[in-house]
Amino acid sequence: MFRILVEKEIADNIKNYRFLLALILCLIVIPLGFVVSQKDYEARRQVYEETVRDYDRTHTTDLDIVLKGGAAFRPPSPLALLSGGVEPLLPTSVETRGFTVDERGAEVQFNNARPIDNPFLALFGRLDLTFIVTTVLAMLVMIFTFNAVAGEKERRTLALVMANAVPRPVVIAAKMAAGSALLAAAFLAGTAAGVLLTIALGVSPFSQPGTVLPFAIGIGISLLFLLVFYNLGLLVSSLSRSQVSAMVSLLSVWVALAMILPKASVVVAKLVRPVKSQQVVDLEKSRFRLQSEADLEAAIKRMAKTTPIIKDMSFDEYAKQRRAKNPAIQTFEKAQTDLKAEATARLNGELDKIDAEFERHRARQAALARNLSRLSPVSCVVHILAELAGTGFAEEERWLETRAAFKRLIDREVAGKQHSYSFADVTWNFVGGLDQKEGSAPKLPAEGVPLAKRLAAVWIDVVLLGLYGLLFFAGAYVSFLRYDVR
Amino acid sequence: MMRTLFIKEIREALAGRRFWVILALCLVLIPLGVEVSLKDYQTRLQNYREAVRISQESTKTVGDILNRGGVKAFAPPSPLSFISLGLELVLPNVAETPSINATAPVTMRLSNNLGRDNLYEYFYGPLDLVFIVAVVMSFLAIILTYGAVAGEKEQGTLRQVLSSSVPRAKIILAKAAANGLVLLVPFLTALVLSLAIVELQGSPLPSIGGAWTSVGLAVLISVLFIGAFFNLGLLVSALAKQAVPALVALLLAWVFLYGVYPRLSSAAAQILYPVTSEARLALEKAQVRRDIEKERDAEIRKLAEAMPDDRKSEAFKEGEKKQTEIRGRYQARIEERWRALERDVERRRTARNSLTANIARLSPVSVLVRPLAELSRTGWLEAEQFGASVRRFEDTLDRDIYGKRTEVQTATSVSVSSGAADAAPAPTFDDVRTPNAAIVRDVLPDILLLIAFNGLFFAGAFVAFLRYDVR
Repeated sequence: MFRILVEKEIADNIKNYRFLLALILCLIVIPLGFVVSQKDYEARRQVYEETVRDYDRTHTTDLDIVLKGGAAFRPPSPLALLSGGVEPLLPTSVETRGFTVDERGAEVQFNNARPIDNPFLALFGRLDLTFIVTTVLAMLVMIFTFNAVAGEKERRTLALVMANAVPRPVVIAAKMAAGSALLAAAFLAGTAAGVLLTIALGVSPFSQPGTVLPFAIGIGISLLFLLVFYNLGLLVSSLSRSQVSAMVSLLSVWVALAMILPKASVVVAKLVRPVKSQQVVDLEKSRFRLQSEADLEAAIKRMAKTTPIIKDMSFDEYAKQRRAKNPAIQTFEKAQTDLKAEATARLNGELDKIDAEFERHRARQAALARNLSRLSPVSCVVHILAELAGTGFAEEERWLETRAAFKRLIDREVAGKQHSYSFADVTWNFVGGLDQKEGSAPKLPAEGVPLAKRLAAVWIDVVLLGLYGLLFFAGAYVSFLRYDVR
Repeated sequence: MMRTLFIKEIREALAGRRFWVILALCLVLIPLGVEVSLKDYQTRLQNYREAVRISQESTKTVGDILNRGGVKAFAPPSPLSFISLGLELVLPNVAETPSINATAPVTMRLSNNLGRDNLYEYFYGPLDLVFIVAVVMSFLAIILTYGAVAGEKEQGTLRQVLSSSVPRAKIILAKAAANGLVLLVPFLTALVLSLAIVELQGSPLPSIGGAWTSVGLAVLISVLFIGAFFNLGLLVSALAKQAVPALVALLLAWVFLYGVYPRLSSAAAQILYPVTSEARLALEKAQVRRDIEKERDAEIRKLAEAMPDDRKSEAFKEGEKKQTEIRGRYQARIEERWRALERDVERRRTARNSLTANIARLSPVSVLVRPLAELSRTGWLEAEQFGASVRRFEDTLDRDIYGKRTEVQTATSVSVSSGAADAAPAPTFDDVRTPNAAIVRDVLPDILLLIAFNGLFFAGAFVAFLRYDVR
């Protein structure tokens, strides 16, 4: 019975051209989206590689890092065709500027250079899989489902079906299975055509290692979303009396779930849990750093004025005795080193505290926005695809870790090998500890977020998506069972 | 007759739920969107002021710029971003000199510091006016119109109306006028209310010249855009025999015009007319500089080998003069090569942007999104203006600071002097905003195009309605 009904539904959808429409749209839009995204990625990857090569050529020793500054670059995501995500807002590198690495440690910051080559891409958005699935496919699902039950009610054909000995659960399950299978077939055909076209044009998304599995999972998640939305369509169609009201309701629900709810979740989170801006925090840190430097300078001057023997020395005398390795000067300089180490530890502790406090508040705000937005299955799928593409919030968090790791590396390999001593207004800098050998410049290898970690960030979205699917189907099922034929 | 029909349509709308649903939606979404966007703007403005204050405090003199790691220039956020946040989160709003030992010709790095604070807004999109108009109002226009003619055909009521002595032209005109009012009255009411709230809260609008002209033009473009979708709805409804196919066709048209076509147009132009990226241009410029400076250093080394260390000798003075002349010559060469590279990229980019804008203009959505960003000062024109201000500032920095640096090399020593007076006040960044007239000139074709879309779609609906065969 189930098979017969599925075959009937499939034949219906093929006869009224809906499947053909879905197939044509998928075969045009998905390959186009893939090719456009991959061409854009290839161009960005080339620039990234040239930038890294140029950096490697010009930064070969520790001293180069001190003089010109150092950097660790972020490679573009090879799976941006799944989702552009927040990639345009991510830093292009973490860096230290020239002459900012001294014995007190490196000043590391994000490089947020924004070379916008195509303003229209940023203004109109990307034709990535996320957009295709949540907008184009969602519309196709609406067109497939709005009259699946409501249309049959209106035409009274449902009453005829119900008059036969056909179990209602079988009817609704067959509708769901047939329609979603056809849409899935159209989507998979479009995806296969897209992948083949990118390979044929030499811009395959699988040219980089570790891309096949996240891509496959992304396609699986897209299919799951399709099923969830299909069930939502069936639910609305079952609840509606006419196909027109079903379509209008579905459209309104889609606008609410895909557009209003996610945006509103950010608004609510900002109002309920306001957070300082990163810029203000950076400025506070900068002020703190300057104050700490001024305090240290004053403390060294105070020490010079109060230390016996030293306090009575002129600059020339100090320089002369220094060359003569006077023990009093050695003790004085040792005391300076201790003072600096203490001030640096205190400064780093304070800066870390500011960062940790800010990140804690930021995480609370983000969690609220995130959890509210999870009321929409569209938000769930958008987040999952962004994390799978490596253009989501896990990637953003990783760059915080990268900034810390880069600072540790430069502090250990470059900053820690320098020493300076001050007397009066003169500072002696010693960079003899720096490695001058070609290729000695420390380098932080670019590492992506492991797939397991990215999936761990969105497992709840996957579960929710599954639950939404079940909930919508159960709703459609119950409402269909309760339908009064009279 | 026309008046009777018009009143009938209005009464129908008021008696049903449509008008009230539209009114409620507009009264909730538009003031909420404007209020939230303005709050965000105020936060950005506070951050901008704080950043400028701290930057100015730390670079009061030329000496501060030379010894404290350079200078920064900031672009203020736009108070009109409630209309369209546009490219504000991605286009550069900060320019900074590269490092403490910058030399002429100096290149300031352009970046944007708003990203981390607005990740979720970017991810989900802002709740600005352009979103409400492009998505919510266009959907409402579709929902109001899909059944306006096709629904009456299906129900058979149109046949009855046409069998009486009512001119067809008057029927379609009355329908269009009444339903148009049902859509526009709530929109304009909510908008006026939102702007009144802005005013009551101490409007930030007067901070830029011609702000109210921009608001007025943005409202005009929005109304024309809503009108375009409304008339498209009437056209499809007049062509369809039933309401459901009309609604499905309109939905597909919306997806294509809103989502697919504008995205494809920017990608198509990029493929048809490739332009060297900014990042690659920066690499090429760095390479040009390195190559030319290598040549310069070789020439100076040759000269320096014959120079004595005695600064008072005639030979030293002669050599110093020659070295300054050589450095000036090579600097001019670098600048010339850079300008040539920049000019080429600029020319191609302008041509490509114009091509993209023209391809995209076939969709009313693009004709709404781009002009509203420009009118809000969050579009490409404003970014170009900031870029031009930064280039002027670079010239000032070269003239007053970095260009005064002197370096004299002899066989055994190198002496460097900044040449600039350390105590002299630091040059200030003069950020010139895009003149209102330039923006109006830029958006004028889009306004005309929207009028043409309205005319075309309405004429189509009119003709289709006149040609309708009652049998």
